[in-house]
Amino acid sequence: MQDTLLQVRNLKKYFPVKKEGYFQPQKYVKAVDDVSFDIHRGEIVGLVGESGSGKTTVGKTILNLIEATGGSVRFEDRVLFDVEAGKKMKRDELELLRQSMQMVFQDPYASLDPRMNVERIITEGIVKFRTCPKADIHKKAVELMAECGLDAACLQKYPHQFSGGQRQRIGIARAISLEPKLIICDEPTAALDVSIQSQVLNLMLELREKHSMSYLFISHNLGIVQHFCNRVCVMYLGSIVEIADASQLFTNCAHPYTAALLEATPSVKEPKTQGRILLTGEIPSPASPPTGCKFHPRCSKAMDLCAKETPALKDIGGGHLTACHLCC
Amino acid sequence: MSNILLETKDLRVCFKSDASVVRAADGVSFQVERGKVLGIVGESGSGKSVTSLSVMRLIPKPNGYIEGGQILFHGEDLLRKSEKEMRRIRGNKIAMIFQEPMSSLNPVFKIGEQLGEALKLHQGISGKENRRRCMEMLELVRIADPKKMLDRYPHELSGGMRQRVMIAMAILCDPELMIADEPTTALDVTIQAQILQLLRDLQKKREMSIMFITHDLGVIAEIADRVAVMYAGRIVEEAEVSTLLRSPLHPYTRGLIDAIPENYDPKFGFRSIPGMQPSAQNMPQGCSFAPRCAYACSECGRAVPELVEIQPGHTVRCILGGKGGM
Amino acid sequence: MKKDTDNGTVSLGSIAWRRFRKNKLAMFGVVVIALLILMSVCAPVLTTYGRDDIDLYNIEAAPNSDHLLGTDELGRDVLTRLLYGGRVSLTVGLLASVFEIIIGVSVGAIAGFYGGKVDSLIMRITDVIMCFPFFVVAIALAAMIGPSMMNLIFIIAILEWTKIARIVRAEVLSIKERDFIQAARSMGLSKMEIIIKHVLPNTFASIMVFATLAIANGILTEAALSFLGLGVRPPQPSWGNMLSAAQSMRVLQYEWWMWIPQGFLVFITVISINFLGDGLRDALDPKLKI
Repeated sequence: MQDTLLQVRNLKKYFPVKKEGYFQPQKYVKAVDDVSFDIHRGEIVGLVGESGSGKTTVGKTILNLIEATGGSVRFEDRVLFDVEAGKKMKRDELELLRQSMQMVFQDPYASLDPRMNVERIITEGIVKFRTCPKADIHKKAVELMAECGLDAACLQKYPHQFSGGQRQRIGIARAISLEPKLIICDEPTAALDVSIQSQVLNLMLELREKHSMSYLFISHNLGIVQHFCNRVCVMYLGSIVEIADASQLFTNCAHPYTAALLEATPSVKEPKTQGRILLTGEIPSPASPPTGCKFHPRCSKAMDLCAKETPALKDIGGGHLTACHLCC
Repeated sequence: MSNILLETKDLRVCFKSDASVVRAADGVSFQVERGKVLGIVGESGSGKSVTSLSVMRLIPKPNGYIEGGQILFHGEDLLRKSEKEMRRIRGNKIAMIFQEPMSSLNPVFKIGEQLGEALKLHQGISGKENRRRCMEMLELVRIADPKKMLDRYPHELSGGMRQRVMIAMAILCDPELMIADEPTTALDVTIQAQILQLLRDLQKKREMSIMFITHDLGVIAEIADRVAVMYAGRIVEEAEVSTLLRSPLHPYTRGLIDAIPENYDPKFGFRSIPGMQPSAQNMPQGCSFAPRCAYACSECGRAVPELVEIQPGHTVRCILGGKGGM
Repeated sequence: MKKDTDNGTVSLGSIAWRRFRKNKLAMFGVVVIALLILMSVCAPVLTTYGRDDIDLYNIEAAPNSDHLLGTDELGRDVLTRLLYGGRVSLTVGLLASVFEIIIGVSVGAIAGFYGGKVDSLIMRITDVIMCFPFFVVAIALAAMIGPSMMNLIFIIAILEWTKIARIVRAEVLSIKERDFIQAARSMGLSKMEIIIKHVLPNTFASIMVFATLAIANGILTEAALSFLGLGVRPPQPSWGNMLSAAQSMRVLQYEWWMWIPQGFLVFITVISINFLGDGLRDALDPKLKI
């Protein structure tokens, strides 16, 4: 049995919507609706989905940057929060735990404080938690820079003097400065050019190897996820529709949505200009999701049952989970 | 009649900043054939958007200006046209769609009003006929309920719907050339696939030419007939799409193709091009790709290589003339 | 731009200073303010007369070689009193603005960062204070607690901090949503640490700009209240209470030295500070385009 690092159970996040009339019942956008998954030690788990699928909200809720509406998150043997049981980690304990869970953001321009120089940015956590003696902080900063492929001579520079790829490296240096066990990566390469993107991905792989970390890799790019992640969760409208090993998912996916996503991804190897099966329509608003299986209005294989009953996430063998009536 | 609809010759576009002048596009020459799709691919800062804007003569003034070269549309130089003549061409003969459809639609007018106005302005059609034509266009871009769509405001639409409306607006006057500047970059893959298919169908049906600008080679593979690769303000390689993807000759093109996650190779991991694109202020001497190039030799630093035709229809700007890429 | 990347380290301050220097009006403002401060600080050196030296033989004398700007109704040297008066005006402006910023920034930052009920409560209070007609309340307060320099500063600060609070709150609201704040939170920083280390430094530019304008405003308010006899109490001179001589028709018509230099100093100070503020706004632009 693998060693579980992070355990997410029935995670829910509902955002209240503005009421239309005073006496109308309060409506909610179910951004994350009953999401459960595990991350094992040393594993890279991908979380894919289109915009509005709630993948970023999952990441932020796990880190407690957004307060969850329901469900629980355990990290190692500690409970971060369990809404149903009314358990919540104390603030100082949570601040300590944050050392072990870090985040890398999508937009390298917005995620660095423009009024701090690089040294202050990447040593902020070290200074706060005094993880190394004061005299060694500068040495540690130089080490971090070298590790992330940055010139240590740039420590006194400010974020605006760097390119997008370099800024993302700074963001990664900051994330690993406290030697975390888990990093939540929210589309870390989406804002970068293709030729730079691979540099950052390789750096992340290298660092994971060296520090034996786990990643939760949030992305919409299936091409990256396929080769970067060990396991992949596919999200649609706030719910996970399929979880499988990366190799399994990309050769033998079970859920029609995953299939459609793969089909729609443009390819240079075999361009599909004609005759591809396209998904019709768009993602419905999460404020009024369809009944039953949320995907059924766009699904080519939908049956009567799909509109009535929400399929549960079931194991179809070998840790391959899917939520579809067709597969069970 | 010549088969070439649009041709640029040695186009040079500059931007002034406080102290210096920066050349964003340097000697860009390409041809768009009638009824064909030319893809222009490049990373941010490669000058691909500047090139497309200059065809429309929409370079932001006063800091940007076209330093020299020619833009021939039907053999006539667009750079010599007056602003008034350009206005007649824009939207009418050459239409443009952008990456962010929200900012190109006026938020305070209904979709029907915006479409109708464009039609009235360019073709003088008004009244019931105007409305009928607008609905027809919306139907053409596969909007389910065109009548209802006419009375909606841009903010009520999703990104994909807005891009459809923009496309409807672009083809309203039956343009001969459509310039699409990263039209699917802001969209999800499933929506992107729909839009690409729509563009392809429309282009076939109306025998329109498209100049398609993107950073995504996968998208190029699906939509373009020919493709020009831009790097640091210059075209470094141009060929038919299948040729370019199968046997790229320029080391940069090769690197770009290898860097696509789809081409992941367990032997090498994710492949990347070392270093980064030089900024326009400190352009290296000679070949601008040389500092990142694995095949660079001392001669690369001497002069900017010329675009050489290696095989019919396949040109490359590299002194190795293709030996480096293979 | 090239130079920066090559040289490596360019602090944000030096970038701002380089841009500020290019702005001629702002530089003019700095020079004028510096001169005024210098002159009022060095007043005892610059003049041979004492601040309150009465010379009954020379009452309301026109400017002459002994008294460069003439004398007032008690025969005191006007130039001397102007120099000493500058101390009062500038002190009132500076201190009032400092107090406004201390109150306004802390209240605004707390309202913006904590949001929710705290925010609504604080914002309603500022709304109420902003609804007061400034001069009526200021006059009433001055009448109640008595006219003096410190009281004047207190009155201005207590009535004017709401503006800076609103500006800071709006800034904080937009900064709060940026990713680097989320990054700091996931780093384990507490709310207070985030406010002090990340939020406030990013509002620095607007605070600085507001501060300069608040100084100008303080000087004007001081002049106005002192003119009405509710500010600095004679014999201590301030530009405002010296101007109150101009309440007399005779002075206005025949004795220009009793009010034109005073008025001119208020004018030149306020306009210099405003130039300075505009220059700062451009130089500290947080977009940091170099």
